[in-house]
Amino acid sequence: MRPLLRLVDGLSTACAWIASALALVLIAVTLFEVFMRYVAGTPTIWVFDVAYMVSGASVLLAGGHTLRTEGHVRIDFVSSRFPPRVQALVQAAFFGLVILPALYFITAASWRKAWAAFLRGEVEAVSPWAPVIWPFYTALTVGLVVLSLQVVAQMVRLLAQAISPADTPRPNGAH
Amino acid sequence: MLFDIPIPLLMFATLFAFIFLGVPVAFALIGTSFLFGLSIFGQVTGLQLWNQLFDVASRYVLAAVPMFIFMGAVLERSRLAERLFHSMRMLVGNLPGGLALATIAMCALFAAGTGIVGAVEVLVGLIAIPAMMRYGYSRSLIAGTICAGGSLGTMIPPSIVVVIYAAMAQISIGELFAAVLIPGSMMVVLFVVYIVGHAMLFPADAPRLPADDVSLPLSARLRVFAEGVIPPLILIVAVIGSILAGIASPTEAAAVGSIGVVLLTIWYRDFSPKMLFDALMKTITINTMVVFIVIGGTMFAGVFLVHGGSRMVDDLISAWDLGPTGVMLMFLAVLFLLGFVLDWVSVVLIAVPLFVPIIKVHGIDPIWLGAMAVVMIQTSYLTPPMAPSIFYLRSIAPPEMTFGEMYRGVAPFVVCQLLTLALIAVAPWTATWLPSLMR
Repeated sequence: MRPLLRLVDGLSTACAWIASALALVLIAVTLFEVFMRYVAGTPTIWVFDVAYMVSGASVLLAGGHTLRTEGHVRIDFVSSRFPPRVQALVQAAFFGLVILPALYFITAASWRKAWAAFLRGEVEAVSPWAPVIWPFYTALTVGLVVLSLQVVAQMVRLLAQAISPADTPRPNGAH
Repeated sequence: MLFDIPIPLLMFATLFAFIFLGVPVAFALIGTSFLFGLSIFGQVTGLQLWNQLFDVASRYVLAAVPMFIFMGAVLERSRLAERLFHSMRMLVGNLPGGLALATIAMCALFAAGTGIVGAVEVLVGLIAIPAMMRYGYSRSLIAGTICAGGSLGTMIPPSIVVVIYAAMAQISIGELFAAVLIPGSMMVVLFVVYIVGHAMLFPADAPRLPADDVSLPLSARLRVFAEGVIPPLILIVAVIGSILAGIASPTEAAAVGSIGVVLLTIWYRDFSPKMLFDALMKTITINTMVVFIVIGGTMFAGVFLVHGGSRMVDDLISAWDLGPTGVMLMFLAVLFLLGFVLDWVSVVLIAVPLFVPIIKVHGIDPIWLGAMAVVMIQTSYLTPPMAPSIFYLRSIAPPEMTFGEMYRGVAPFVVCQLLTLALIAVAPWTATWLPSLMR
């Protein structure tokens, strides 16, 4: 089990690195556009699309990492009064019964969109540059898949924690 | 009976149940949308929710968010803050309440340099609290100053609160930035007036610094100012100025600001590849946290709408016969109350879509209302007992500082914010004049 969990963590971290690189790309292409528009006077037609795609992909690709490192806001002034075991069980149940099914359906839809776009060579509909859209769809799908895997991993850790709270580290490893 | 409760209400009940169970807010929103989406969309629920996700992931304006966060993350890792506090102390240290003034000035500058709420407070607090403690400032004045200064992050451009609010309310980000500029400055002035007044009335709360610490000749002061304050100031003016002048979109200005802070760290010899990497990882984590709430909120709003949620809110408001003023007051009250239990992104995401159609119907100026809403969100950030600002402070404050002292210290600053709000309400031009120049 542990090697599997580490594998998922590793996937999330790798995707987070890609997301970081994309954030750099976002800054770079936007600066390029600023230069082309305001200095050279010849705005590009591709930066707008690249910027939103890179930015959106970065959000989804960092999803697993953000979950693992407890980056999400939670309101714990009620739940922190429950015993740790109950807290862990509640979280695990929520992840397993609500979030996983939701992510499954969303990811499946995302995958079908990406595949269909790839087969049809679908292009961005409103952009004058009209790039193919499947790489963006695929990046979103990869992000969703890794997030789903990380949700499973966190659930396993929470359950382990609920069964034997003493010898399991906190699910995130951050605290 | 369960089925007699209108579904929109049930949605809210489920959402808050999830939130109070302590699951991440973004997932509480997504989960609720999924459960209630199933009953209308059935087979295509996944596709419907994915469409909402795609809609958020492909919004160009949201590309500004990671870059504003990046600016803050880099500043946080550089020694710029210490240098700035040192400079500020030199410059205003010999006024009554000098250290507190230096703290507010620094918060205002940093709020202008970074979009992250909370980051300003922690960053400045870590430097300013020990300094003020050492010189014997009263603990409640310290607490109030740090929390109030930190809350400026929601108000002073380029605030992410403003970006998200404008995106949700479908108004121009640049115009909303312009709208909060005068109120934000007035608020800083009110803070300064209060601190100076307090220090003059109760000198024991804010002892004067030893003379040799702060009595520098004018030439030395000018040099400190030129070295420590001018470079970040240029950056801030360039970023905010280009948005306000309508030259650059917020996304473009954010990119310029991002490269600007990196150049600043190189200029001050704080730069290292590791620092850049850490800042990037921090950036994507915070960005994902923020945008996931936007995604969840958009899904929630979509499903809520299909279940007749906005009609229910409409009916409720027309049943109470509120009129424009009533609607505005109710909107602000909702923001304030939600702000007690939720973080600001969730507050904006839940409240704004509900009220936008009603606000349009009543012909309320959305920019004017937006400026007031931003101040209200900021006040809610500061107001005890459920105040994020206090929680941030607790994480960095010395253990001997009590919650009582924090609450007492924060209260006068809350009054300053309410005064600002009242001012915008009675003199709408304070918010609408600058944006009108941009059109």
